Amino acid sequence: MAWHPTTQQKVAAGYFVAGFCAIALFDAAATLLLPKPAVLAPQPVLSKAMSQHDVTLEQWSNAAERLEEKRKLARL
Amino acid sequence: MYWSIEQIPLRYRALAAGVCAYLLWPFAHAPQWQWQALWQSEAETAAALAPLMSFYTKYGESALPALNAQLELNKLRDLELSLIAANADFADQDRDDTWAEATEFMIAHVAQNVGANELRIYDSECRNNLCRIELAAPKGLNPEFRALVLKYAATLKAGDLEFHDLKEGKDRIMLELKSDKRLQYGYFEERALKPAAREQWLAEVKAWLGTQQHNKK
Repeated sequence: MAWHPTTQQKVAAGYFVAGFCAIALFDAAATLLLPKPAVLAPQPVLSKAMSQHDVTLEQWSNAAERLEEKRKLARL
Repeated sequence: MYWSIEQIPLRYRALAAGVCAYLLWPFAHAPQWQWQALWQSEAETAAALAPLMSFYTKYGESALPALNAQLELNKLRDLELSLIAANADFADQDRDDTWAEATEFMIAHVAQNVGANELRIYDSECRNNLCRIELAAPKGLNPEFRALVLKYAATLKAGDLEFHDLKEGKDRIMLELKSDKRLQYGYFEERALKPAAREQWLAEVKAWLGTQQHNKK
């Protein structure tokens, strides 16, 4: 015999989807509305690349410094 | 009276499950640096971003793939440093069987040959990069015994075991030695440390460095 969800299970599934969508909307709004440092404003390509990584500002700068060090070492 | 999750209405449980499902979805949240801009002043964020901005101004968009790759490599390095810190103490380490067995054999062998078999080992145990040796010291750490232990430690140093710690007990001393071998981690840690994309990140950094060299010429 085929399984059919009860009304209570359908309502619970609806609440699950509603919960997921509500927090997703909140998160999308947060991503859009959270401020970006003013120094990044004239650099849209850089800030777009930065939005792909969930790290701190310091970690970004560390990566740039490390790359600069590697470049200096490569030139020696 | 016992509390049960059944006491929460099903619809609220489903709602909470939906929220948790979203939050556990790893790609769905605003990046940390954007939240950081909320609690830091403009001057602070500008100072934190100064090296990045000067790098970007100097090399432009062509450096972005290498920058992304370096960021990922730095994350791996941070992960490895945290694993090294988590394995700093003997008690926190798991056993790297191959290395541990070979080193325990060497420890016992060297003890027999240093000081004409005067050293007695009560117990020796190696784990991931640390070894603990309990040496019998019935007269305590007197000058003769100290000289013998130093000679033993110096011989082990030649076999890549550096002196790390020494604790004096009632009739014994505990010598802790450390190797500079790479720590062996569990399956999941090793996988996290060497993801498939790692080679590509290294290649991207190398390619950018190559371009820089070429531009210089």
